[in-house]
Amino acid sequence: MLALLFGLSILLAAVLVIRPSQTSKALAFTSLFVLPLTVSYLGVETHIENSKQTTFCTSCHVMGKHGRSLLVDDTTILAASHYQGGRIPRDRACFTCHTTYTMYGDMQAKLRGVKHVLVNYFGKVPDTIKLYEPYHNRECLHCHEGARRYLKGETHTAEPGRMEKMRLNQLSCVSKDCHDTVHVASEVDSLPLWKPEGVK
Amino acid sequence: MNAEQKRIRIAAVLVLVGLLVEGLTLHWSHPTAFFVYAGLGGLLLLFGVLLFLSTLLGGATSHPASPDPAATTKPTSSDDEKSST
Repeated sequence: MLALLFGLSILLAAVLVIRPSQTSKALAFTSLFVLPLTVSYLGVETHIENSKQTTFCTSCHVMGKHGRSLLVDDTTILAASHYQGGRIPRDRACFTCHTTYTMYGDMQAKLRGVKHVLVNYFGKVPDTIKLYEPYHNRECLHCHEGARRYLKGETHTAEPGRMEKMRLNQLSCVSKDCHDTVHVASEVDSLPLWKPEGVK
Repeated sequence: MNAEQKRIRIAAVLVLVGLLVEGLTLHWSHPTAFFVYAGLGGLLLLFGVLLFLSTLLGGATSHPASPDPAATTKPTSSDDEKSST
């Protein structure tokens, strides 16, 4: 649909380039105002949707190791187990865990992405890539809260009130001795990778 | 071709190139693609649209609805008077 609209807009603009004198103002208004702005808006939406793809995030050299860490053949690694176990959509793996599940979370995630690109081209990429803020439990609990395995987890119920602490983000899911091995990006080159058949 | 048509042609060229750039970047799944989309395609398109709108508005103000030629020449003469004084 978008391709059709783009084609139509380009065609009408081309008509105006070739024969501006033989075009009505209504057609010119449609060709040079209504259609281009509509198509551009739809294009932005398409780009935003594309930017949620795992291949998009890992297309930058900087994120390559983080992308490969999803395939490390060790299911004790948090990101790998989520990706390989199909707990998150594989084609949206990065976005699913790294957006913030708040009202403007998606937009904030995309704005951070814009900042990353600017730093990549005009700044200095840090040697070790870190999150801006400690990982918030809200992002984990968005899927896990209420799930049977989460509720019955031995360590989750080890002491009274622990669940509430996790819910209030007072005890991090990725704190030491819990789910603290998330990506192993720095070691990924020396680790064996999972090579599934038929999975892109 | 009069001045208005020339401006519309330039606007159409800008919009056309902007659309082509935007269309091409939609097939490129890379963070840079959005920057090219917005920074190059979007700007070209925006300039084209603004040029077209300014041409339309300019055309509307230079050709008022009143057919009285005195109405259009009067401000010019008063401007001349002002400038001469």
